Amino acid sequence: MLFEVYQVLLIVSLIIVFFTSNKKWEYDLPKFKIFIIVVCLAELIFGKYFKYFHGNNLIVFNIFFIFCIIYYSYTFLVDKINVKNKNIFVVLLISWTIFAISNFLCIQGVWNLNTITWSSGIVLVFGIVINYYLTLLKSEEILDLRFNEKFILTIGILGVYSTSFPLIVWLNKIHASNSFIITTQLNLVKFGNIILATSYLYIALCPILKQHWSKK
Amino acid sequence: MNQKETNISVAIIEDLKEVALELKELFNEAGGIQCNQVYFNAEDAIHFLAKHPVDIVLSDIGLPKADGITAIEAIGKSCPNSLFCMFTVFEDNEKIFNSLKAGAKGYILKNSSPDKIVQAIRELYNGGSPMNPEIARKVIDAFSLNPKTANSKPRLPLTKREFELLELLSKGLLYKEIALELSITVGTVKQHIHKIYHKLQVNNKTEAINKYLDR
Amino acid sequence: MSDPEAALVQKIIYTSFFVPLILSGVLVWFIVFYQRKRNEALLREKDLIIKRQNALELERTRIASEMHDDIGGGLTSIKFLSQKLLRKIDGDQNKLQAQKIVSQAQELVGNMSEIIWAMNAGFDTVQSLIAYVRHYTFDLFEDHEIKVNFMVKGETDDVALTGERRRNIFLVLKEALHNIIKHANCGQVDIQFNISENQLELFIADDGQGMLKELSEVGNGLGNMRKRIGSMNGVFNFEQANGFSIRCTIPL
Repeated sequence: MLFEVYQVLLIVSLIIVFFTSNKKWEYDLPKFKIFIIVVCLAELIFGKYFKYFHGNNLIVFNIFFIFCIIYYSYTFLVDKINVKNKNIFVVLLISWTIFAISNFLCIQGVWNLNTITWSSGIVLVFGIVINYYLTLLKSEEILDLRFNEKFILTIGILGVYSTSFPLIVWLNKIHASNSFIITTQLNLVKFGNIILATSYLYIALCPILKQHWSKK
Repeated sequence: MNQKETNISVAIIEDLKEVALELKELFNEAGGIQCNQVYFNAEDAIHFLAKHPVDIVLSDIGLPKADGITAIEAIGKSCPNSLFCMFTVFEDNEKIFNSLKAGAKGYILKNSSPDKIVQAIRELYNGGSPMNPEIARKVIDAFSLNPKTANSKPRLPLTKREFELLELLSKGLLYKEIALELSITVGTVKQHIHKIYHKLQVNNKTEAINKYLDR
Repeated sequence: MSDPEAALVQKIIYTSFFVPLILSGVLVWFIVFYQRKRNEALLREKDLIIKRQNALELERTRIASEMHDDIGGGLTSIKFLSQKLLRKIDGDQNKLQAQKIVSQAQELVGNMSEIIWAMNAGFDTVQSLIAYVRHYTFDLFEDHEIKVNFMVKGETDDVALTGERRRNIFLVLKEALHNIIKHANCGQVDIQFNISENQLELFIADDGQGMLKELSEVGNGLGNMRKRIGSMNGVFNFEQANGFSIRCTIPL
């Protein structure tokens, strides 16, 4: 198969984002259009390129992971609602980024899976998401979560990071000789990715859905 | 007063005695108007006016027991040829509008000068009515189609001219400006308003019947 | 699957996938559920506040209307009684006094109806202000040999304007027009409303001899107007050239 299911979903989101760019649809998520473009570049072009010509595309995903963590954190930290513990998270994010880059360049290396970076990054994002949930519950605002892009994004993040990424991180530790197990793992990872890509697609559609709904 | 062919008979319903009696004198001194019925409450007026109908009934809106709106509605049934005019301190559009729906064809502010009061009575007798911008707006709203009742009753739509006139009135234009705009006389403008009030009353009646049948 | 170790590993993998997935699912579900409850509670609260405000508003209107009916009725009686007096008595001096009572009572009723107009939330639009002002202006100038040019530019239909502001603008205009009648000695008055998206401009100009600002009455009047416009964060200017003109710019 040329494309995985989640990759098709990403392409569809990209197309929708391009279509909406002419119109007055604005996304609540900051720089969402750029983000989607970067995601597609990493997943569809650079990932495939390195896999094909170098046999290993972990360099792409190591960088891409750092980018994603920074984007997710930025999304929630830039928001005015989320004031509580904001500064702590900003400091954590900056130090994590410095660590992640040095880890990438010096410690674990560019061609290996940066497991330390990944696990700590996931913990950081979870912290931010939980903090976001707490502020959401305390907020005096009446929010429609059905079309709340941030909330949808948290579902994607939770879905993918709580499930498939631990598998990847542990991949080195489980000395799986059985190819059947590796296939199972890959399938599960793909499933997690589908959750994430679906959330992107939904976010891309959010402005249209919102408009449609408010008319009723 | 022989030279005046018409002698308009007027009845007054007003609970402030000084005002009512002064008004009566005012009318009788002005030529062509005769006033010998003064009532201080709605109940008396309803009872006696049925037997002695007059051309114009001038009624206060706020009366001790039954109010002026109830009064004109009741009197209107027994004397279909009488014209009703509300007499009010303030331009309370809500109440004036309700009176118009109940069958009033005009209103006079108590604050107006004696000349204006007399003039308004004469105008009303000749088929002319006053209207202010806010009432014009309310009338437009009352006539704008209600989809639920649109099919079930024969509507009394306003003519195009009448709609134009209401639009202009609601913008705050004066009678003479409207007359100029529509190239008619001020008197015709007021006669149009008179007709609109009549349609408003009929419209109100059918509306009430529809509401009843709806249940 | 012959290797028992491989089976165990696979079990671990499945567990490490599905347990977090279910946990996150439960977390998301909890957030959605709780947030919806909260939304409902907030809506109820808002509803309650609105209901309370409405009740308050209703009560206020009731008190005001009762008061107005009372005082209005009384003033009407005074007006009619003094009118009677005016007709019955002789002597210019006496007639003048009686006439003063009549006009005083009339003015008071007029002021009260202005307040009623300002208080009525049904009139909270620029359109309503202009219709009211227009009528007032032409009524006022009816008995004077002054030509009135009344102009409105811009869309007025659904532009909201609170009662407080309507009243302020009206009173500024009233003051200006009374000044013109008393002092300007002019043949023409231009009144212009320019409504744009975010501001309302009122321009009143006459072609008379101009106002003597030294005249304390005029001076006070201008001060009042400036204060009223200032209270709405507006700008008030006047100019003395080929007559007298004032220009008020009020943000909407």
